[in-house]
This record gives sequence, structure tokens and C-alpha cells, in this order.
Amino acid sequence: MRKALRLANHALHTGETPVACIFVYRGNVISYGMNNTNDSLSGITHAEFRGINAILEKVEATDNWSTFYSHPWDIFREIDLYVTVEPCVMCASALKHIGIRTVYFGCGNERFGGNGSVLKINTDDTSPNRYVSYPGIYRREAILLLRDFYTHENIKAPVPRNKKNRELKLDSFPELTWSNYLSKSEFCDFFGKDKEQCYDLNADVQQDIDLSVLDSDNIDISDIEQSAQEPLQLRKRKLCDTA
Amino acid sequence: MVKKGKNKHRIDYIHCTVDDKLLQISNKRTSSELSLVDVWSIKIQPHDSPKVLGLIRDMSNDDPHPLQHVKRLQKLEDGLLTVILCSVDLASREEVVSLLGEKGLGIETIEVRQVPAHCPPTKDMALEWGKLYWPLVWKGNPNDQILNEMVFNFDHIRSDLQLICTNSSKCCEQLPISTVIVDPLTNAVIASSNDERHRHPLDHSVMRCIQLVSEYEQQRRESIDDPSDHHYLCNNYHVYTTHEPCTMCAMALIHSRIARLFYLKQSPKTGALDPESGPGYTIHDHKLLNSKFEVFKWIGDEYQVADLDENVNA
Repeated sequence: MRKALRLANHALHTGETPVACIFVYRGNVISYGMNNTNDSLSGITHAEFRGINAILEKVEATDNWSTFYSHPWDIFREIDLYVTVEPCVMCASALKHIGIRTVYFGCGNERFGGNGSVLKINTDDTSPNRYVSYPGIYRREAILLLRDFYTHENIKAPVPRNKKNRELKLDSFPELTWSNYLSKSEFCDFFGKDKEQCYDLNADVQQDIDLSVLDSDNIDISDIEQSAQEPLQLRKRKLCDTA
Repeated sequence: MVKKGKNKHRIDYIHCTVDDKLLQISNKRTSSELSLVDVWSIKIQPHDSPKVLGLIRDMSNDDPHPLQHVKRLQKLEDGLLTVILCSVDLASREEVVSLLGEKGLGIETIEVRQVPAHCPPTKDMALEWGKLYWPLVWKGNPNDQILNEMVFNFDHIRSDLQLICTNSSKCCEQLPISTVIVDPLTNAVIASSNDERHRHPLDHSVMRCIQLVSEYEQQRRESIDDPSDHHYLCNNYHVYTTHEPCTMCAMALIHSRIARLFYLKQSPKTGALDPESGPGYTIHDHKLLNSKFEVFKWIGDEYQVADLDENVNA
């Protein structure tokens, strides 16, 4: 998630919305995405879509992919997504369509979050591909990146709003209503039984904020780009451990 | 009161149809089918009403069941007022008891009642439901005005529906789903695509069309200098699609700011617009999402398209 936050910080410093994600396959970052709705003149080029497209291109560029999968997108059964902000309803549904394994995100998206804030697309019955989505990973850092962005103006919007009087608040954060996203047992299995109180109190599991994430010198993403450019090493999934 | 009859089309305000061909799809609020919701009520002395109204004001924003159409205070017997506090889904008995306690109100008369979950489409029905269950506030049906002011160009609607039908019938390997996006000011077809998910799992026809609109705009901007002539996303465009779209596509259309969508066939298990489809999201008319668009289903039998497997997300 620290890598995703660094990408988001990079996006912030290049004038895009500070939302970013990485896709991890067998412990390696194989793709990443940042929002690009302004430059692309399309409201749907969210970070997740860019990351998904890059993965499909990579699989198709691998000579032997069809010995492992019947479709290039079958690889998503073994891929986890780390995204700084909860996927929107559209992306939540797209992640379901491709069959993502698990999602981890920073802060919720009260306006159009699709993993529990507004709708809970990830576990609905519209397809058999359901996935668990864990909120609250570096949540405060993700919120601060967004706050920083929204104190600036989006000059591409039809009617830019004047936000000059807004200030970046570092000390107050909204509650995290865990039950919107996870059952208590899902929470305890992942964060540990000792954090159970956070669930009951709607409190962050990480209270301390790592401000270095927001530093203007924390925007070098070359290692992530490098990792995402590596060709895919596909491997057979272990079907059972008895061998 | 709505000045009906100004619209040149035959509008059925109860069933929300236009010329018996278009059915307005919206969330259930104005449905003529009665559904009931459990609410907490108490009896109070009239002089306690300011306290109770304050309490109701504080709670009503969070209530999952909007109760604006319900008369909150009703004089029943003994000079006491019966008050509807909030839905049972908002607060447990214990929570209601403690809130009343804080205001120094008695809790002996607390009980569960049933009230209509939404306002019916006509005044007569509002009176009837009021008599049967609980008095309702009738302020007219805002949807009457909305429908009455809508402009429909049936010639263009028909030709664009015919177009997607023809395109859909040409699908061979693909799923027979087809979409076009139209600028209603010029009636120009800006984008047209069939389903392409055999190549890419997210290339549903709606997503392809949105992508084509952005490519079209990028090209167009190369030849125009005046930024005021730029088009923002799919702002105000109309979308015609053969099958009720899935959640991804419906939300992509919200992000793209379209004005209106027409479809031919419902997707009962996976659709995201009709309140009866799938989980009943009505993405285009959802109070928590940041914008809305209008949706109509063509209910004539002129345009036939192939059925999909019920599990397909169109």
C-alpha cells in the first residue's frame, strides 16, 4: 500500500486526482494505475481500469499463457489489488467481472464507493465472482492526499469551484464504520482479535500518520514502473499440497 | 398543480408511460404498489411537540426510509398527539427509549406502527392509503411535472432503436448487445459499438461507446481552437442500448454525465436500473450517488433482440 500511496502522491503533483493502485501477482507488482480522467477526456479511465488493461496486455504478450489459462483474464484469480481509495461502483463491478481475488484499500469513498460505502457490489449476487475488500490500510494518509487535492481547483470541470479558503486539516478524521465493509469475524481474521475494539468503536487500526508519504520528494515511481515492465513469469497453480 | 396536457404525447402519470411505448424507470418512490414500513410511535402531550419535532429533525436525515410523505403528528384521542418518530430500521427500541429519556419524555406509549413506505402517485390513492394505515401529506407528485416537461422525438427514438436492433442482429461470435450514443441536439450518432467482451472482459458495448466518444472528442479538439466549443465527457447525450446495462456500465454512464438512456430488454438478474432487476440498485436514480440520468424502457413490440443467458451482465 505504501507503493500505491507513492503513486497517488505522484499523481497529486502532476495535477491528477491522487488515487492510485497496484496489482500484485505472486508477491510482485505486475501493474499499476493512476486516474487519468482529465487528460483522456473520459470519465471512466480510473486507476483500476488502467491497471487491468496493462495486465491483459502483458498476459497476451506472454507466449505460453494459453497453457495456463483458457482466457487471459483468468490470471485475476491470483491477483490482489491495493488501492488508496475504495473502488467506485463502476470499478467495483469491473473487478467482479474480471474475478479479482482480494481488494485492500485506504479510505472509503462516501460519494460513490462500491465496496460498502454506498453500495456493496463486491458481495452482491449479480455474478458468482465475489471478493472480500479490506478497508482502513493507511487510511489517514489516503485521506490527507485527497484533502490536499481538494484544496486545489479542478480547472477542467465545467464550473470550477473556488477552494482557496480551504485548509489541509491534519488532526481530524471521520469514523470508519467497519460494519459497512466487513463482518466482525472477517475483521478479526485479518487484523487480529486484539484489534476487535477498533471494529466496535469505528476507529482506525493505524492511528499514527506517516507524513513522509505526502512529501513532495516522495514521488519517484521508477521502481514501480520497472517492476510493472518486467515480463510475466506465469506458473502453474498448486492444486493440492499432497505432492 | 401540474398543467397537464401541454405535452403533445399521451402521458399516463400513474403508470409512467409515454404514448404507451416508453416506460419511465425510476426508483420505487412513486410506485402505485403499496408497501409498508415499521415505525416507532409514541403518544405525547401537545405542549411536548416542539421537543419531539426537534428529535425527529435530528434523526430524519439518517433514516433509511424517507418519511417526508407521512404526517408526523396526529390528534387521536384524550387530547394526546400520536407521533411517528422514525423507522424501526433506524433505531432499536433501546435507542429510541434513551433518546426520549434525554428529552424528558415518557416512554410508556411507545409502540410499532405500520405506515406506507412511499407516497402513491395520485391524491386519491394518498387519501385511501391514509385512511387504511396512517395519514399522508399530499403535495402533488413531483414526477408528474418531470414527465410533463420532457421532450420526446419519437422519429429519432425509433430510428436509433432500429439501428441498435440491426447492429445487434449482426453479432455472430459476440453477444447480441448493441449500443449507440447520440447527441440529441443534432441527432448525430457519436458512437456505436457491439459487445466486445470476447476480446476484453470489460469491453461491454456501453463501455466501448463511452471510450469512442472520448476518442472522437480528442480528435475533434485537434481541429478547433475555441475551448467553449469543447464537449465535456458525454454531457447531455442520449444512449440507446439493447439490454438493460450492468452495474459497471450504469455507473460509467453516471461518470460520463449522460442525460437519458433507452433500452429494449430487461436484465432481471444483472440489470442495474430497473428496481426489480438484480439487487435493485437503480443506479441512475440513487439518492446517494452524485448525479442522475433519465431511463426509459421501450415497451412496444416493434424491436426484437435476442435473449441473453440470465447470468450475463449486459
